[in-house]
Amino acid sequence: MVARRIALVKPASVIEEKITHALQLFDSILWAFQGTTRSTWTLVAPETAEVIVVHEGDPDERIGAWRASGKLIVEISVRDRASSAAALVYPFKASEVLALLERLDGPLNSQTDPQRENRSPDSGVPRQSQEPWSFVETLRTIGEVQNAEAWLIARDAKVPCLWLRADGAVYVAEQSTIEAIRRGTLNLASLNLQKAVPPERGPGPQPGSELSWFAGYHASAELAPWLKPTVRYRVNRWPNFGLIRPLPAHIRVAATLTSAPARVDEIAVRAHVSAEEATRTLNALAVANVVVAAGDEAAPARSSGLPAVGSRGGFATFLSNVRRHLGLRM
Amino acid sequence: MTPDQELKIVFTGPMGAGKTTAIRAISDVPPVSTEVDNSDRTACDKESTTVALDYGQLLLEDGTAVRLYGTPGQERFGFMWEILCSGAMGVVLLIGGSSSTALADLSSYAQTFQRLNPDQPLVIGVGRATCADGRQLDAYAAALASRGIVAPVFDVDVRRREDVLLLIETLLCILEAQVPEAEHAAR
Repeated sequence: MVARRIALVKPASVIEEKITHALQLFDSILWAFQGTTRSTWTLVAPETAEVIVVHEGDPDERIGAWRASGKLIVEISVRDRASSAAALVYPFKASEVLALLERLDGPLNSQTDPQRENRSPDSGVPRQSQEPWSFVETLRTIGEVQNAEAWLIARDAKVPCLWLRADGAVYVAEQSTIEAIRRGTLNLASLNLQKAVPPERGPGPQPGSELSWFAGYHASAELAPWLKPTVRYRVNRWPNFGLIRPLPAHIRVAATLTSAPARVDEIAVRAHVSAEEATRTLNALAVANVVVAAGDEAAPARSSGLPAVGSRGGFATFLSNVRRHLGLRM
Repeated sequence: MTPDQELKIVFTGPMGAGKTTAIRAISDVPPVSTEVDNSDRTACDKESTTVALDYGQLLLEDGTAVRLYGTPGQERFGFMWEILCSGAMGVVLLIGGSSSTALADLSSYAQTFQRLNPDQPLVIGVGRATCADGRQLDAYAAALASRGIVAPVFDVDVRRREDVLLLIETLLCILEAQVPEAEHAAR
């Protein structure tokens, strides 16, 4: 397998947070796909790289010099209307990055670099950053890999705390870790993920959907980078709440977005949850890949074909009474 | 609510899916079941089966009764589904996850109940299978989506009260999302 060297260059002055997210996503995809591409891609400094990934419009004067020296420059855009020079537009899929890497093999093979073939790749795995969405981005990436044969280990301050199958479908952790993930007290973004052998014994596997749900829910109180506050979203399928065991507010938000598309501010009003709860739950739904932008689609027609309970204080009161009776959390 | 109106939740699904068990898990009274010896062990290997309906109820503090009906599982009693579902708050469809006909059952039942009342909340519980990742439910969701149905499909074990409550809570949330805002103001 041919060793390739690639560098990710963050603009000196980042004016949009999305640029950081885009580079982090590229980084995660590179890491997660190690061993699955035709060539082995290793992150190095720009000076020694064959391919350099930059943000389109980055005024860094070195870019011109790198290009002149024969290095391949890949431009990433975070705008809806990317320039024709941009190879990738954030949010991009792992498959797009893979296709790009394979395409780059062609011109790189044609370049004369006698030293390259004798150079062994660095053995280190890129470390995860502290960026709040880094763990979620990794989960999204490995979900596309669908490699059920490999396992990853996540370490918290060098102590193993969870094992994740490389297709993201199941994970293994102690009950205390599972509870910490659910409560959001374990900072998943700080975990360092590396390839590992499967856990030999210990607790049974947990559904990866639970991990990705709570990773998405607790990642940030701000909207996920790929969501927009001005866009109405709807649920196009429900998450498997039988495995996720959600909070009641999560169910209310999902039900609201099934009933009609809504912006995040509208979700809070309609589902009777706080703005932060609406944001976090929308994030989790997005990570679960079950919401879509409604666009110009009309909201599904709903009739009020509900049983009449007006004489007993209204339907909302009735629902509260049922919940109280069954011991459901309000 | 007028005296002749009833508040009811219907549990439906094929034979052996756990309708009687689910009603028993939450009913305030011992469920009334019309079970007889199962003469069709080919379709479902259980000793007894419901031939008319199951009945349980939730008796709320203010005296309101929410009736819980379980439909008979055999398709020859399909004429009762429409009767039972008429005016129901919602339908809980239970599917046996280990059944070889699970996917076909889901499509058939979901389509039938959506046809009877397309706006009636529908919540689907699939009997918990052995696989931990739950990805087998993707096929169920895809089958529903192909028919334009967006309904919750959850892995459940109806022997566990909390799983039955998850289905009920979801049904209540869907109902709530359909209630006009003016109603919510009364909360």
